Amino acid sequence: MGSISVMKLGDCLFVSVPEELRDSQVRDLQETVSGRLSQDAVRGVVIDVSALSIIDSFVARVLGDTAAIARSFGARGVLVGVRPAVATTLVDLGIDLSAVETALNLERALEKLHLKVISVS
Amino acid sequence: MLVTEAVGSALESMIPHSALKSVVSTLELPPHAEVGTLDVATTRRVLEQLSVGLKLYTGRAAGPQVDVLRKVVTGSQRPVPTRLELPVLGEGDVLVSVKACQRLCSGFFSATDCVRLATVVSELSRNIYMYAREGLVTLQLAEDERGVVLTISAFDRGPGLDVEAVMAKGYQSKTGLGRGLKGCRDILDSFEVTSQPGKTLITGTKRVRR
Repeated sequence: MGSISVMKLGDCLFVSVPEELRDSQVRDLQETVSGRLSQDAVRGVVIDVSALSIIDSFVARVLGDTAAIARSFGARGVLVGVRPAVATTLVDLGIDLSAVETALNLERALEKLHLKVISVS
Repeated sequence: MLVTEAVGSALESMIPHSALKSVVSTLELPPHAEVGTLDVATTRRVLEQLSVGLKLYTGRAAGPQVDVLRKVVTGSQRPVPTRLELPVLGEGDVLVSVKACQRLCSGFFSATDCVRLATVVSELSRNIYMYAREGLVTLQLAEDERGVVLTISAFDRGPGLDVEAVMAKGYQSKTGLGRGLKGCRDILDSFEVTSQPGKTLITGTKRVRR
């Protein structure tokens, strides 16, 4: 069981959600994110869910809560990497992810957060 | 007659004799499997392995031969249902049942349907874990005259649920799970909930689209 990986780049935190999300890891995810948010003054939290092969209503709620935590620290949470079949299922199930912003990929997520990655050569 | 013997003699007219042994040896079969005793999932897998073998040694995609081989493997009978009983005793079992569903469905349903069905199983087994602590999830793949049907059922001895309230429009439990149950009904072809304190049974079916 891997722990939650959180990386900081500029004004942004990147959170990778592991393939299997157990209750203990949900707490871990939310504690890690809030812990890091209180230390690092960031504007955005990008949550990568590409490892998740399914998102059920429980996981959807966890993701929504995590975005709400980010908001309470003045940061915006953006979800990236929702698989096509997962997106279809979320619609079928009537699970509402509107509490969380979503973006097609990391690049778009950064655009949403008005952040830019520049290369210095 | 053993499946290997039956398949071997049927293959003699289809592929070179020298290739026969290697094709038969690739088949993943239970030991001493008799013709007509294989379950739905195993029959499917064996026929896939045979088509690969045929293609390899004849250079052409296997067409009508597969139907012939199906009759040989099943003895022209309907395969026995594949049945998986997955106890939900702890949180880890939710993931186990989801994985089992994905594995069982992958050969039969489209990739998107597999995700849908795995999500249904996740909702149901998590419901058990969260509200009843323990219960049993059963997955069954059975063949009838119209094709293959998956039946998902979840049983527990927990406090029970108010079926009408849960299925009502706009219902939302504090864990966010109530929505899920209604969503399960939308994904499946049939869905039935019977509940009283100490005895809750949820059963749903989904037919493989052809």
